[in-house]
Amino acid sequence: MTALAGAFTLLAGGLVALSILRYVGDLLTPPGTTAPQRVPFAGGRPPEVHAWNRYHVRYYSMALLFLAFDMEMVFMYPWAVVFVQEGMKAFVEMLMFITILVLGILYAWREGALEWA
Amino acid sequence: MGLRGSARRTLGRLAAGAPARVFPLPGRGGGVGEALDRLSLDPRLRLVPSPRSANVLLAVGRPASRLLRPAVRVHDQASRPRATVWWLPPEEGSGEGGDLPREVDRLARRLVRLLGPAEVVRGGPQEAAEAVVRLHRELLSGARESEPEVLPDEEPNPWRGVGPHGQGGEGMMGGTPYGRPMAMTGADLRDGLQLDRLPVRLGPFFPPLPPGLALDLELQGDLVQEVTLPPNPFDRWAFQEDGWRGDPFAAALSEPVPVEELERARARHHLRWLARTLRLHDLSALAERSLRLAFSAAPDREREEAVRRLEKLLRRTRALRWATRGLGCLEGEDEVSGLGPVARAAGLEEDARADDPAYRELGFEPVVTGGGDAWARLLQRMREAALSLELAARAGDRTIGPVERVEGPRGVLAPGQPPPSARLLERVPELLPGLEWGDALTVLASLDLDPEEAGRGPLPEGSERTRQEQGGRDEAGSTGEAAA
Amino acid sequence: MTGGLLDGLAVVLFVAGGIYAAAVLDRLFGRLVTRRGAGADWGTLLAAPFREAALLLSQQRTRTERPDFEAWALAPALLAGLAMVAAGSVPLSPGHGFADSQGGIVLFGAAMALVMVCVFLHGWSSNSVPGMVGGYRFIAQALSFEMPLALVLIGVALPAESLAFGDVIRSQAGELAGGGGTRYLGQVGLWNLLRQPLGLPLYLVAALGVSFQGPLRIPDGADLAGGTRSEVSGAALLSWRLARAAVLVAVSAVGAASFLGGWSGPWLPGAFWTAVKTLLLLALMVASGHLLARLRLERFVVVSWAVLIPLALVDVFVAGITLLVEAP
Repeated sequence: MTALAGAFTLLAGGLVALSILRYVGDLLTPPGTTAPQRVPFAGGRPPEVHAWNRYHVRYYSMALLFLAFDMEMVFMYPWAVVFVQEGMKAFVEMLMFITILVLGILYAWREGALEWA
Repeated sequence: MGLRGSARRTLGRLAAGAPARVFPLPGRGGGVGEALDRLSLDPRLRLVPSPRSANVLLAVGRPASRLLRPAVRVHDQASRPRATVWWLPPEEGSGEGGDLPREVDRLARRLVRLLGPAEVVRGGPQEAAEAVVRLHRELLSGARESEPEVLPDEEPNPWRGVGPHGQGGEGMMGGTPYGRPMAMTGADLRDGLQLDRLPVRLGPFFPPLPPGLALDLELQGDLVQEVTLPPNPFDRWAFQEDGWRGDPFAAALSEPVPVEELERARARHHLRWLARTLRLHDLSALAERSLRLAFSAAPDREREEAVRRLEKLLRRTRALRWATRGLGCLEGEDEVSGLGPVARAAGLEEDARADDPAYRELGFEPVVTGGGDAWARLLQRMREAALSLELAARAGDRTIGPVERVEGPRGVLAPGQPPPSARLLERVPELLPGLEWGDALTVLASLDLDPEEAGRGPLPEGSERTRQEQGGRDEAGSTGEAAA
Repeated sequence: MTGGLLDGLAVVLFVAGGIYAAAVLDRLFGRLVTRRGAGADWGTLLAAPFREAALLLSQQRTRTERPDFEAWALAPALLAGLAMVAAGSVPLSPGHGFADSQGGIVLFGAAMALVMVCVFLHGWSSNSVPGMVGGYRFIAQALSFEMPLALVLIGVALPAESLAFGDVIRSQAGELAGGGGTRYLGQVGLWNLLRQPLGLPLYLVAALGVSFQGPLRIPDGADLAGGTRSEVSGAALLSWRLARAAVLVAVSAVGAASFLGGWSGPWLPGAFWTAVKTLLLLALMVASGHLLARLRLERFVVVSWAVLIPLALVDVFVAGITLLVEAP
């Protein structure tokens, strides 16, 4: 079995095992919920509205910054493998790339993209 | 099916040995919080943060009418198998859980009819723990059936809209899908962005909040936009004198109270508050340590040492400091004067104990921490607890009282003045908006609010003797004026 | 790098044992911190996780009024699957890696990134405010720790010249496939803990984040009355707790492999050393939960981007420079 096939087996195994566990509990203690039981818990008073709403995700600019760094990671993975062979050239190139991105973090920090409350 | 039955039985027997999962429903009565804290130290049970994980619901203390329906709703939200226990701890100063006043009795009967508790326990934490554990074992081993739901099995609202299929409606709502409307838009506090404003009704039995406090929040994202306080479930109408009975600090207004007892009560209060706060910050092991210190029978010196060590530990592991620094700043003399630890944490050096001769003999000096934020208040209360234990160790036979102003654990208690919790409760709607949810709860916890104390109203104008003295002084004053 | 079914079974047993050890350690540290006396009552301590599992299985699995059923069911199952993939990408002993692929580090990073989806779905699908807030919070937390996590693993990949965990371990044991291997501060094989000192602390912070443990227990925090698990009970809660513990074990195993030398160690078989080192990191992370308060999310995000990522970059570049200087 190749390693990737092994990884997929483990993924599938974990998925299946815990799905079974969830429903095994149902065999032992049938769920059968009633309407008053289904009211979301908030301390004893019923909710006015559904919780699902257009949630104000204040950290969206940080998410964009993360995207930029994620693209950098894509390049760093193969870089790490060939680094020792390529030597100083590879080091300097990556250093330049990272510096540009670090400037991005500095900008975001100063603009307050990392804080939202 | 035989296999299923035997599997269930084996599991049940195994599960019966686990600590009982208890969700507390605190009622009124000054000693309820303390009784619950004592109970929570029992290793055979564990208090859980949500009724979904609970087996046993523990209603403690006397019922308040505004707490009955929330209690019933929480009861129905608990997962099966469940059972309810109603525990009446002995009232302080009135012996073993005596007869309830008539008004309370009517509510009590209604509670019993609604919730149908499996057991009513009168006694101390030991008896209550026994009852809870017994119920837990019976439920899990199958010897006792789970309690059914109390409320009828009806959907909250029919799915209703405008069109023939129930669809359509105003704006974002489109009727009431699955029984409830959707949130409507509103402008954000700071930048005016029009997104959904979520009204959240946190009830009296929400564990992260101070026990008994109900809040109506408007959230946008996880930032609090607006806070409204619904009517206090503990608002007094019938129990004014009752509320302060058994409170050693209020008693010092009218009779001599040993300094040792007073300071021990203060230390216990602060350590119990610390346990609640630490639990809010996910430090449940340290919270238990703090509770054990609060109720330990060890000599005061040892306990003082232990409190100081705990304070040092909390200071050295910076995480709690980072979590509370800079939140909920309350400074300014007019705002916080008379609010005890809150005032002293803001840098005001005021303590009613400094005026008393007994304390002056002991060389009492108020502890002051500057900063006014939640971290300062935490340090302040820990240091005051340590100081109280030190004073209690050295107090000997000294007594304090009767005095005009008493330094209670939350602030100054004086006849005719509203209790400190009432003043703090008023400040809540202006302190919380703009804070993130977790920060808002941290600030609330750092204020040490007690809605029950706030609901008790101003302290009675003293005992019979003090009233007579007051009457005498009034007479002398009026004759003096008449003469002049 | 391939393995038979026995190796797969070994991974499963390893994770299961790790979950049990995490539960016992949690209680043990709780008792130590409470000063309740840990010496007595080992029987209760060791049986407690099983009793708790039995209790959860005997409870009813409640639901809310209008949840997203499929997502709610998927969340714990997918979390467990991802944890198994992560744990499997580490070879437990030389030559016995079940999922020890050429791109093990990438696979691990991908699995840990998807954890974000699981936790969000778990909180959001219940259609209840505390859960939803917990889910959205975790996204902010996850976006912040992903970068330090990925960067420090790049750092350990540099001396190994490969993205496979097996090669990372071998580079620390001085047994690189190419022969002599690069010398590193004069030593051929040295634990990455010593030659990349910034690596393990940063990795532990990120590991705490991905398993939302201890100070980073933000989506399931006490201020949300349990957060994403506030509406879950019964077997569903048991699945969630098991899955989360599995993630904890997986990140401990990967940390042990990347920084503590994995299966390398004198006299005793490799599997034993892997277990011991994993247990050590597990104990560290579990203990941190009892001593450190939960951090404020905003503070963590700022610190992560402004301090942790630059430190991780320094770690990578210093490792790179050292390699170039020492290269033959």
